[in-house]
Amino acid sequence: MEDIAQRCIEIIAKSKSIPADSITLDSTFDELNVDSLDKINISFEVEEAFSIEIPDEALGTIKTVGDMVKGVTQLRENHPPATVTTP
Amino acid sequence: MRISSVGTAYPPHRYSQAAITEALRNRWKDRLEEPRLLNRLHANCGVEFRNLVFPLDVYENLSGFGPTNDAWIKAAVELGQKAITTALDRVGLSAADISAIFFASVTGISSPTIDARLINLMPFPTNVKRTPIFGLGCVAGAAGISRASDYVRAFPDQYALLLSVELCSLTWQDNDQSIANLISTGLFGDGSAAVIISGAETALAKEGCGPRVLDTRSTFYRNTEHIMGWSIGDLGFKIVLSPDVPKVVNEHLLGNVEGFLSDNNLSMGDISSYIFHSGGPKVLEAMETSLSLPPNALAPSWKSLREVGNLSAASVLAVMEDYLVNTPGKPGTYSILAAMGPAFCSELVLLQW
Repeated sequence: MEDIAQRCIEIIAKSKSIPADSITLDSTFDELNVDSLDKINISFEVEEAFSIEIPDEALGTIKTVGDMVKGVTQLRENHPPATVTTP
Repeated sequence: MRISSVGTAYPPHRYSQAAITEALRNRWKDRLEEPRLLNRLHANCGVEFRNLVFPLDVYENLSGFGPTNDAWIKAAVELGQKAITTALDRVGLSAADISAIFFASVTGISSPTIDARLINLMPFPTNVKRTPIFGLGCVAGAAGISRASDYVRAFPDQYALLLSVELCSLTWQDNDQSIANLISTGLFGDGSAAVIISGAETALAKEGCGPRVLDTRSTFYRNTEHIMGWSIGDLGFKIVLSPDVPKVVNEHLLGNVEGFLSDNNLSMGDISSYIFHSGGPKVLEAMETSLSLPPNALAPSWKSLREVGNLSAASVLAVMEDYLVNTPGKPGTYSILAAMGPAFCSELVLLQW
């Protein structure tokens, strides 16, 4: 969970060009000046970072960084990323 | 003067949001840099269904401003007639009883205007006074009620009709893959609404039919032209839609509402219901937050957005219809009807049931 939180915060910080230490789990996207389009772009980055697929309609319910971390955690639990095996 | 009746009419082709998104994604498959962006923008518009003038497969054959606007004229006349008939039938009036028509739309143009074409189809008096309104956009539903109310204030023994027809699907632009256009193709729907405003000395007003219009307030926000509107070119109407719309709502709405109520010796605590334009999720959230509204205060606006999308000027009228037909206020209670739109500007209407 901590790793997921840290990675999500890094993605948001990079996307908005703000210091990562200014972002907490309680930060709302409104406070961080993340608009709908930013949120969609962040969702693409998060999907790639965690090899998950976020449902299209889920973004409207994600209001805080904590909501995003919780959602990513649940998606990873339900659909763990495939591991590469060699014969 | 009272809002005695509202009637809405929707075109017959009803689609889920997912079906519309899929159709546009296929249509623009060679144009979209990131097709998932369209899905994600549409999925977060707060819209589940929309009614469209044409079946989805017809739109790709519509090209150019002329043919598209001709289609708008034909459909606007048909839909407008249905909405007017519903509004009149609900209160037992005929078109012959109407003394003034206010017609508002921002999705097509014509001369003679749609109201004139309807006079040839319905028994309106030939001396009916016509005021076509183009360009107010989403605010025109509320502003139309205000202007029609001004009219019957001057002529209290008369009835005025407000008609709005908005066919937003006829403004989809293939050559514009901007975020604003992608959002607008997911947000705006097609529909029409007609409203009967009764002068204080009419039979309907004397019967107490519908809430009284106590006061209205227009507020213009200087130097906000870039927030919303059309860029009009050879291919028709290209959307201008800034992400700052919710910010403008946050900056202005509370002050506008408090000032308006104060001038009427009222305060926010006196208002029982909020009949607000279904602008979109961010706009509705900004309205709820800036006015500190209780949970579900805007439920009918959210419902309208889900069921038919943002109908521009007709949206607030569709929400008004829902209140009149399903949840009218208790006698003596107050409501605010409100919309905001291009300029940027707001229109507030104070009602008493």
